[in-house]
Amino acid sequence: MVKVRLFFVCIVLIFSGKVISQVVLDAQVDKDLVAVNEQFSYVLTTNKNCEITPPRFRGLQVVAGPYQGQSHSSRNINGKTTSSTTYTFTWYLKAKEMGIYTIERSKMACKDSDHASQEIKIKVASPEEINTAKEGIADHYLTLESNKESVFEGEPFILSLKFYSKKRPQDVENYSNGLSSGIERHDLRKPTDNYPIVQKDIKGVRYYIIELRKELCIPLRAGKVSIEPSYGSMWYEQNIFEGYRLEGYSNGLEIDVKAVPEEAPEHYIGLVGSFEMDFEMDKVELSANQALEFKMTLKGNGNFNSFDPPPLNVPDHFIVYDPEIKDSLVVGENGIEGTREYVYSIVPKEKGEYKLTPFQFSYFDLSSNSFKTLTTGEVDLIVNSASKAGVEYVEKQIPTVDTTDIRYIHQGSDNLFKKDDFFYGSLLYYVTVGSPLCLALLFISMKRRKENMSAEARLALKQKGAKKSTLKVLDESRNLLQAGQDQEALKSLQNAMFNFFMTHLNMPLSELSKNSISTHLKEKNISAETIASFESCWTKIEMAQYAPVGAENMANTIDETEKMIQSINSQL
Amino acid sequence: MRLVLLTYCLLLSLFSFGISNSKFHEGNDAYSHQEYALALEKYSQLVSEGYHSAELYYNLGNTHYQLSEIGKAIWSYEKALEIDPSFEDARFNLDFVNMLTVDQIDQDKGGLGSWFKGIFFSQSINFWAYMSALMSILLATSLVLFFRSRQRKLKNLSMLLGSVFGLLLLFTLLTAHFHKGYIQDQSNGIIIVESTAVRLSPLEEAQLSFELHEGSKVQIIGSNAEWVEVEVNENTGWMLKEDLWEI
Repeated sequence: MVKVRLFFVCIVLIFSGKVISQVVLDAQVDKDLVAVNEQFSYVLTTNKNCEITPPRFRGLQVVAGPYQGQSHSSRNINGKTTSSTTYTFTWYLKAKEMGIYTIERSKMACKDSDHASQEIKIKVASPEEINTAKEGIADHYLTLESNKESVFEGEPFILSLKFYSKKRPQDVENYSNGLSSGIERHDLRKPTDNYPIVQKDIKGVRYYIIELRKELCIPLRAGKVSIEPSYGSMWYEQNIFEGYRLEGYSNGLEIDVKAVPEEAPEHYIGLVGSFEMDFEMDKVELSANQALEFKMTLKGNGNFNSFDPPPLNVPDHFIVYDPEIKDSLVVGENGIEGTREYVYSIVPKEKGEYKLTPFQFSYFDLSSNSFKTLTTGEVDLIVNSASKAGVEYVEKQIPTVDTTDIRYIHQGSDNLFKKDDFFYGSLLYYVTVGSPLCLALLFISMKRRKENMSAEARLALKQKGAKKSTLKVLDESRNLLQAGQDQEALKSLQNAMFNFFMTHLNMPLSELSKNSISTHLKEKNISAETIASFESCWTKIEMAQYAPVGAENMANTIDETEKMIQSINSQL
Repeated sequence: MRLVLLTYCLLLSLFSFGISNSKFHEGNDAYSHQEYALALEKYSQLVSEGYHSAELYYNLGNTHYQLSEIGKAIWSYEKALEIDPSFEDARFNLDFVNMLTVDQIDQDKGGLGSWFKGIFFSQSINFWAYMSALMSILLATSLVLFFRSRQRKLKNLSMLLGSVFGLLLLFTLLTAHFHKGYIQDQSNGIIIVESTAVRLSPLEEAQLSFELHEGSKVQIIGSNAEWVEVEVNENTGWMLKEDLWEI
């Protein structure tokens, strides 16, 4: 019984284990019809993390990958929880050539079993085939269209890259040109232009058609010229927050370029279109070695950019410099239109009278499919003998084209000088440069010396100036007296005297008195006469403070004081 | 006060160079009447009297050109450019006349050196000398101000100004020195004869090294009484002194 129960349990376990571990290995591609070089993805999905042997992608190129992804989910049903994990491996591939490719099985080896995915077939077709297949069916596709399938060498044609879409795209995301050789391409769309959108029914399905690019092409050589597919991608709005991208490659094109008829005239230089010519010469008479300006204007519509400057037909000894080219050309749907101006500088070297046909050339006229010739006709040119004998021109570039002679003399100030007019290096120069610095140094050193003087020396210096300042104050008091201000005059006189003795005898104001000053003066061996004079002055000034004295007396006192001060000063 | 007076005198002497010489104008008149021989005589007299100026050499160059003396014209333009490296008309005419020369000579145009010359050597010959005198005065003033002032702010300012003027003094002194050297230095020469032989040694019978034609500019390396050693396109040799005019 126990055995039987155990058996059931085992059965259940094995069964349930089998349910959980039912291993899946699935391979998928996003497109099975692709263009050459168009990218597509190959995705392996499995629910078991075992060792995987991917296919070898024979004939296909792995652009990127493998990218590994993992997602986990669990669910609960009637209290029973089951969980599963999904593993994905993604490769991005592309094919270089057309054909049918088989992606072989992928293999997965687990512990107890081996698994394999299904085989996948990919068809790589020409873009045209794909586009035709897509018309009316595909959500979106790109086309590259030309307005002419066969053109003459140099004849312009228009290429346009169009994006067809069932849904209206929100924005143009990106596009790029396929390569081409032997074609000169001009973008006709201005960067500011909008992308025109039209609607059209194709095989009963309404498509939005967006013209991504429009180009004017001019073939540069005869033969088959191929234009490789162009790429374009658009952005679509899914909802306010999300969007998605649709992208793809267009078809390629092959244009048959016919050579111009064999019997091209001698002066054919590759011009195709319709042209007019005009010319201008700045001189019809000049002297040898002088330069002549020849201007040729070509006006019309054609392959202006793809031919060399037309050669000038002049005698060998004429030196012709490379022309200056001025363009005013516009690239339009009809080709390159406008004018081009060639300015040639010509220097004849030998005198003579010439009949020239400087320009004669042919172009292939597209409207009549025949050659036409333009000519300047015959031009008379008189070259006189060279004005500067012995001057020989040699092959070098003239710096500016429209100048044929030296610049004129200067007639203003002559600014003459002599070699000994050089100020630099002369004695005066050294004195001029040196003296301010010397003076400054002298000044600074004097100031330094004064600052470093002893107290006595400083006093002596002060005493030296005392007489001068006292006499100045005396003059002031005289002036005051004349002005009738007796009291002020007296005060100033007294101050002058005080100051003089304070500095000369080095006494403080409080010690100044008639006696003390007399004693000091005696000590300094001042003559008795002068001391008497001082005492008399002092007394007079003191008296004047209490009893008014006349102006005349006051003036006398000032004079006397002045004399006394001078006398003391000379004796000290 | 003394300084102010000195500066005034200096400025006055600067203007005294502007006094024109009548021979220059006589030459100009002759040139404008296409009497080139007379113009040449007038200009040459000025040069032989020891006068120089960019304008004089420029006009002399034009006169030589009109008389088809390409070598001498080039010499004159080179002299004019030596005095004023930024003389546009002289540069133009030199380039123009150089096109008529036969020898292709490598010449160093452009570069830092000529840029420096163009900026600093195009003033009057004594410009930098006067500038250095002015800088000396300004430096002295700042020094005095520095030692006299008691305010920290004023002291700092005068110190700063002093160092600036000091550097400027040094700069102007050097520039004046180099400017004078540049004008007086004669290290190049122009061939003034139609063609001349450059020999391997300074002897008539020495082997011919190469030939130079009128208007070619050569570098002078050394010289003796009759011969001068020149370098052209990294080739050296000796040629007769009389065939060449020094710049």
